[in-house]
Amino acid sequence: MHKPATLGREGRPPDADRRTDDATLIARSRAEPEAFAAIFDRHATGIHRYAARRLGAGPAEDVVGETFLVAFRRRDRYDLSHRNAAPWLFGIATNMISRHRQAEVRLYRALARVGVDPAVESPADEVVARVAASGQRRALAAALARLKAADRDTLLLVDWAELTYDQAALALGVPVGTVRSRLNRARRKIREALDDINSVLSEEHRND
Amino acid sequence: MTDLPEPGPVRELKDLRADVAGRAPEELHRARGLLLADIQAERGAGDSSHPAFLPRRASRPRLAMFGGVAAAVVATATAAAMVLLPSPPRPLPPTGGSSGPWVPQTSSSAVLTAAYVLNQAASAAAASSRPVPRPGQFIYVTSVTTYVSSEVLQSGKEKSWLYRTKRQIWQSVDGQRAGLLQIVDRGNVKLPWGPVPPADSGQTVDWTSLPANSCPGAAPAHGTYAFLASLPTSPSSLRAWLYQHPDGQNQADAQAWTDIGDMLREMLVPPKLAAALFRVAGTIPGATVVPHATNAVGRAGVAVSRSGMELIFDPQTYQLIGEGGVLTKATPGVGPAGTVIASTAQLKETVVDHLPKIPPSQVDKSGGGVTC
Repeated sequence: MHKPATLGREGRPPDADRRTDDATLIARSRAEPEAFAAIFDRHATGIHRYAARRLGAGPAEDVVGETFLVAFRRRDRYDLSHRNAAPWLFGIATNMISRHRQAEVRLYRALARVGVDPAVESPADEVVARVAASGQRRALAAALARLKAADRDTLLLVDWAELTYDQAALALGVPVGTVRSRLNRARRKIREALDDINSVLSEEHRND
Repeated sequence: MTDLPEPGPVRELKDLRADVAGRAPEELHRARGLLLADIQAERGAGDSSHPAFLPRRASRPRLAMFGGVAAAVVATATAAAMVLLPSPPRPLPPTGGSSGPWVPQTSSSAVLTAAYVLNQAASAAAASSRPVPRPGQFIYVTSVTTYVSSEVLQSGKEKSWLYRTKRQIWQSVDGQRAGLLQIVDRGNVKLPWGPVPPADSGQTVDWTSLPANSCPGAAPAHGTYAFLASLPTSPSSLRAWLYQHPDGQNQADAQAWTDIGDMLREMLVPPKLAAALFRVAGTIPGATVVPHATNAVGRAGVAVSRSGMELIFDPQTYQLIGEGGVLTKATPGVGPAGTVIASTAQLKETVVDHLPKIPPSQVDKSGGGVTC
């Protein structure tokens, strides 16, 4: 579908950063499997953080483990014209996260009910979380829980994992037009939920 | 309808759970251990599984495609999601034919309303005969598509172009079997006001397996033929069903138009349902006629358009022959109002008994299936 040649180039001109690109490492790993460990070291933190935002830290490590196993076993199929493996890995991670969808929606719902984040680990974070536990946050979490899974995957790949539209399209295996329409729909719903709660909050403020 | 601005990122969402930290690779003992064990196992098996002297499949490399959703997603290539205007003047479509399109003869162009065209299409659909598939069979559809593709540059600016594909899709009638999708890349095309697109690496072919999405005894999944066959075929009931979705009442018309397009795309639609869908579409306010439309293979037609999302019909038979998408207002990085950003042609839809035999090594898996 999309021409891969331009992906992942922005922000990393070939000579500005001398490190070997992902495609080269993956190509090398076909003959020398241990080269794939470097792919893990490069991307595991980003995948873990993304999964932890969606599922909590425990399931997130499972997602990381599953993602890199699948990636390793499919490395022969990787398109070497994509210098940056992030879209590929986030695509696999999205599939793995979908197996935990119930946990994810539970987390958002819990967050929506109490405004406290059950997946935040440290006590310090918990204090921050409690302080930040606002109506806005509850409304956002509830809106996330209500989104269709495909819309949520797309929205969070762009807004949390910070993939470009094209990268998200590659990750999800859909045309970029679909990414755009899903994003529009998801953002509109999120925005509506926020607008609703904001008008309620300002109403309460006036009544105080 | 009022133009919907394309919604930008919601800051509050970006901040939500932004304090969650990712662990360093060396802290991810369990995950790293799993991978290293697999690597070790492969080393132990010797390098014979990856002999360095053999040409690998990667000589024609592909990115494995993963989809959070399967059939529904590939059948939902809605590119006309940008903010769009009804029937603006526009440049020639990418594969525009040279002969002038036939325009239905009416006393005045003002008489040619979207409702008229859609009612004609409804009558044509109702009178058409289509094969009735059995459970276990597949709906097979071929189409040619052109959609806009873009990348966001570091500067935040977008760079866009059109990419063209030919698609063949086999969808399980009842959703209980895996389907198959073939995408043949037909190359990139420059937008009239756009930059030169990235170079083509030659024609590539991607096969993707579409996992089963429905279980025996359960309701068939959205997007399957069996699901469509379960919908009401009276326009009033169908309209009520299409408008029942509670989200965003003010968007209900836009959503209904989009949903109708989604249901018609890459599908063999039961004639009575197709007729009802066109009748409902004819009741949606805001649709206009584009008398001179062309589908992705240059076939002239008459289109109905709402917010730049067009359904194109053969001007004589009123069969649906494709879709179009046009910008309704200038969009940075893409073009001015009127720029064509989507063009499709549905070439064939029929029923088949079997999937083609494709070596499994050439087929990517997409996710989103069910386990029953």
